[in-house]
Amino acid sequence: MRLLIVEDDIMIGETLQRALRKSGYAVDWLQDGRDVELSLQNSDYALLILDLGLPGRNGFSILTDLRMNGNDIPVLILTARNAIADKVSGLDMGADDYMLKPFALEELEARIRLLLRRKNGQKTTIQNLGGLSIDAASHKVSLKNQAYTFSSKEFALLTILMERPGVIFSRAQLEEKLYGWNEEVASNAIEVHIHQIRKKLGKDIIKNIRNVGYTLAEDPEIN
Amino acid sequence: MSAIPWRKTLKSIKKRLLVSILAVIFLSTIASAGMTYFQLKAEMDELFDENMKQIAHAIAVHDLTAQSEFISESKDIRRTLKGEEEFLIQVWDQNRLSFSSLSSIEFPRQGPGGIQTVIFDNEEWRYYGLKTHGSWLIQIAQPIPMRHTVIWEIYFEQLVPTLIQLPILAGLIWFVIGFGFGPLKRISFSIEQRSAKFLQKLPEKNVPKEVFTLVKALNGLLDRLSVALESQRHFTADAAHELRTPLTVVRLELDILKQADSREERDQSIEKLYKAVDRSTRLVHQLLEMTRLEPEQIQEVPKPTTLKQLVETVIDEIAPLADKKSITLYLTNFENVSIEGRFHALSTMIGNLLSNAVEYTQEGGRIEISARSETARVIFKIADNGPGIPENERARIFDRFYRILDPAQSGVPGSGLGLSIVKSIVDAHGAIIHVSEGLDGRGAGFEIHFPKSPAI
Repeated sequence: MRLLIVEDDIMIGETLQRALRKSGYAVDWLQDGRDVELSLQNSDYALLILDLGLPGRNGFSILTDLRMNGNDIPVLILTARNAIADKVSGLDMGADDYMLKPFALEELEARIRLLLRRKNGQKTTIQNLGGLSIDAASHKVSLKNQAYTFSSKEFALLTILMERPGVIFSRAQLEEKLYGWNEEVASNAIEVHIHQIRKKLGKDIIKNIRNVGYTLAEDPEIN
Repeated sequence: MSAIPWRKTLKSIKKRLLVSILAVIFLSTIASAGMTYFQLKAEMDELFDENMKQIAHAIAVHDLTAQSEFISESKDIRRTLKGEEEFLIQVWDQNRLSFSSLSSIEFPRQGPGGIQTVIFDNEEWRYYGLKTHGSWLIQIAQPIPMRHTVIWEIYFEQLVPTLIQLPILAGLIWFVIGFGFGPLKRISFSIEQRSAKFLQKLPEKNVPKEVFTLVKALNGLLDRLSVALESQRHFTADAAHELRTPLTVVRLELDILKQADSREERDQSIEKLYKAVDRSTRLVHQLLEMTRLEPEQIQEVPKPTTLKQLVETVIDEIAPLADKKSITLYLTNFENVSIEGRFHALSTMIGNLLSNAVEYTQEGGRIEISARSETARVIFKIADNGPGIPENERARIFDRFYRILDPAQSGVPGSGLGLSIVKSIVDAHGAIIHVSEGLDGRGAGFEIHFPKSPAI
């Protein structure tokens, strides 16, 4: 899951990026509102976290333009403006959620999860496919009622594959979904994660189609 | 009545007016009453004297010889005259009293003479003696105290209406003054209705000339007050908004710290927490500085201050920071000029500008400070050869909490208040600040123009 944060304050931007990366999201962070459109065109983001008081370009105007151009990316406004009028206009202009600074990280993450699964039409954090079950809130993975511990990147990778079973993801696609800009990525990072997942859930859980990419086994229970 | 309540009473203009108007009326009444008395007395004396003469002459016309027997038979035995307008009339034939209007009063024979005052029976009498063609002497006399009683009676009859008039006048004056004060009362009522949230101007229509200046001044005050309150409200909102930023970082870092699973992660969070707390502290410090510098609140009295002395005070604090970055500070073209100003505020201003210059200028940079005097103004300038301020940002850098968005400068900690504090101080001194290029065709330059005789 790749997220884009637009936040002009360096301290908040850095900290937020670090916190969300730790939770397994690929996080990019922009300080200047004028760069938002270009970034959204160049990468596939699952969510936009938007500050309102931005230099260069105001958060409201970014949001209005996005919606006018038909972009339906989930947008979470994160701001210090607590006036009801700001909340109302933010939501009316097409934001999906509105959070006031300061906030608890847990709550922000819960809201991010909510926005992401709403996009997929899910009601709860738990996704099932055959005997495989993953919980986005607790990062718990179980196969045939057997629980496994996953690192956040492994979990994120499994989630990406599971959301669209049967679809083949190239290594580059997976890298883009898993890592933000400036994040150190070893050349074999994806292979390492796949290896770890297979070690836990069995060799055949992820199929490798040579020179194309990876896909989740259509019926994970077989293993 | 002790002194304080009296003074208190006179604090009411209405009472003060009433008391003084009544006092004036009372005193002038007394003065005119005194004058009236003396006039009346003179007139009455003249009148009585004339009466006495006329009576004497009227008697003298008659043939007194023929009636002498009849005249001597007076049966009245009163010892005093009846008072008003009664005179003692005697007719003397040689040394024999042939007639007396009141024989019990043994007024002696005085002899002929004009109007004169004589003593009889321990009393002063007014007397007129007329000698006829025969050997008769007609004497007319009247005791002066009696005369005075008559004058006093007439006088009091005149005075009473004046005395009755006084309380009525007081009531009327009280009412009229109250009426005259109506507009003032209405204004104070409208002022009473004003509050910090409702600072509408007072109506200036139909206001009497005397009160108009007051209303205008009050409206000016209300205007300034609402501007001050508005800026206060903005300031509080801005301050709250700005404090949320470091608080957000603190909250997030604590959340991260709680879940941290490596020492490295923990150290990173702790370091960030320190930074966030330092930032809040700096912010709070500058917010306080700023409130202290609100133009209405500057307490320090402006006095002649030499710029050199100011710069020297500030440089002592700045020099170590500049040394650390090997930045050289120069005083170039620094004339020995002085301005009318507040020392503490001005040194804060120069301190903020200089520490900005040191913060933003790269290692080994250069800062130049200059001062010169022109006919109407004194120009003070601080310029550096650092990265400078992009032209499109220059208009906004004095806004509260505004920070330049430039990745090259993003490492500099700050609250976005420093320059806004500088601006308040500049404004409070009636000066103007310009931002331009600094040295070597780059960098930032701040030029402050002080008026020679500032309107503070």
